[in-house]
Amino acid sequence: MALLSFLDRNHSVAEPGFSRWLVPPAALAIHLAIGQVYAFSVFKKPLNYLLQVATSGGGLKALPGVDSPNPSDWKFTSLGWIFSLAIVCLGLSAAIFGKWLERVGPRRAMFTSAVCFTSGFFISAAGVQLHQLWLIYFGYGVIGGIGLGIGYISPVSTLIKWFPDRPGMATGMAIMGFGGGALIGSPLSNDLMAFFRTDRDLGVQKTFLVMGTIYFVAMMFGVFTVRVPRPGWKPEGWVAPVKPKSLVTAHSVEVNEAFGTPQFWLLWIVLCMNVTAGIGILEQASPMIQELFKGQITAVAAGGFVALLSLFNMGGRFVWSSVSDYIGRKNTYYVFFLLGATLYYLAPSTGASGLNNIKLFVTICAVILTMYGGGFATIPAYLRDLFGTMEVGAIHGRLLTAWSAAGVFGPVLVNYIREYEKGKGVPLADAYSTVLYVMVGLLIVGFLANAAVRPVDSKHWYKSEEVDKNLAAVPGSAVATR
Amino acid sequence: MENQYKKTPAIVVALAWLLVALPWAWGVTQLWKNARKLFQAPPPPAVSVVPSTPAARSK
Repeated sequence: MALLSFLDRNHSVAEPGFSRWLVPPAALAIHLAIGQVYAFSVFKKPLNYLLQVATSGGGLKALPGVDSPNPSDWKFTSLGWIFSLAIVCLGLSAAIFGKWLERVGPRRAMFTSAVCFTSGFFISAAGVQLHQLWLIYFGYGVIGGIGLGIGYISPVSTLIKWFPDRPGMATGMAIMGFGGGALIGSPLSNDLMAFFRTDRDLGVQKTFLVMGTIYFVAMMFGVFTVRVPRPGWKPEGWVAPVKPKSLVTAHSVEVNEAFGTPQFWLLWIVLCMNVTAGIGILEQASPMIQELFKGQITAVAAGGFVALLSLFNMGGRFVWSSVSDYIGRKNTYYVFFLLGATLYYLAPSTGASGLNNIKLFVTICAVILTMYGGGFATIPAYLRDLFGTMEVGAIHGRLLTAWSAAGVFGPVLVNYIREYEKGKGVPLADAYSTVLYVMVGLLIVGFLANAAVRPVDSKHWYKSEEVDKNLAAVPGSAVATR
Repeated sequence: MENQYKKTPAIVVALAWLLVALPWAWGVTQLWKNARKLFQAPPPPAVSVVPSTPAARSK
């Protein structure tokens, strides 16, 4: 495999003079590509109509609002599993391959991610051609999902090592890219399907093939651009703090060791609660605003509201993670939980039955969504503060299981409460209020978990004199010294 | 010591950023066009229709 030796970690060590500002675009190339997963829903309706259109013609508008008009077409519920599988595989692969990633370096990991993620498109194209749903489950869901997980964590520890002075901002940029991926993926998919569409073909297969190719090329830009810092490197003019903040360690913890610390599980709860609460708004944003302001907000305007929330979700990733470099990670999460709980509590009172203030409601939801995104983007730097840089990518990978759990727990909780309240005859607007009050409770749990976070006990530190010596001298360069 | 080596030209860094920023900006523009509907849509004459299923909302 000498052909692929350029992927080795030692071939990706930066030459002196290499600008660290090339690393964020490399990371963004990966995250903007894999963030496409959030736009997969644009394929659901075309996939739902494949045979109907192929046999009867007439394009997508043949039978609007009908689920799988041809009995052999795939059902909406079956198609929903593609996205769910991809997200589950994202969480699992991030947890499983994190340690491998730390060993082989970001370039090989990004390459693997690109191969898996884009193969998902190609296999799915075959699935559309043969009309075999299991091929799409396997392709986009499993193989593509593995690519998502490896790609998501691949630039994190590298960015932290390049930006020891601003780790929050650096990782925030990349993770903002994941939020931004859907912004590109959604219109790109629609435009390509429109381009390839004929009377009897919705263009899904060709769109998959083209998107797989485009994303592979884009991700290769990241693969070839990314570098790891050489041993002992530090930003020009930057001096490591002599007396670091109490929660910021100059030592490192190995991933399996970190897994057994209370700090890991406290941060797991912190992330899970923050994400679950955010999903509480995201999951029901469109119907909620229509119900709270009945007769004042159309379905089209509600769609605009959801789009606006996506923008704030993305922007919050960069803003809050950058802010955390100045006020500290723990304080940032205190803000999320305290301000978040207050806003969730106030949101229902802005509805038509209360203040009847649409602008105030939209503002509250927008701020909440910035904190949802900020929670994702700030967690890698929080992990770096507590566990050091040595295996922070692997630890981050395992922590992402909290996201997977919240992805299941959040929607189930929201839907259950809503249905329960509806069943009791409570008006829908009030049912949404109950959901938001439950979210306040979750945020309080997150607040308490965050408050309980203390520095990691020295017994968990990685016991290598060489690593410790180098880390003490240059925080942020541990991997290069291993 | 550092100055003996060739530094990455600023134009290379700018180009790298441009490569990721351009598609991103395009995506943000497309999304903003959607988001504006919240502020532009006229008030409905009657009671609005609430999509009741996740499938309906995702369309």
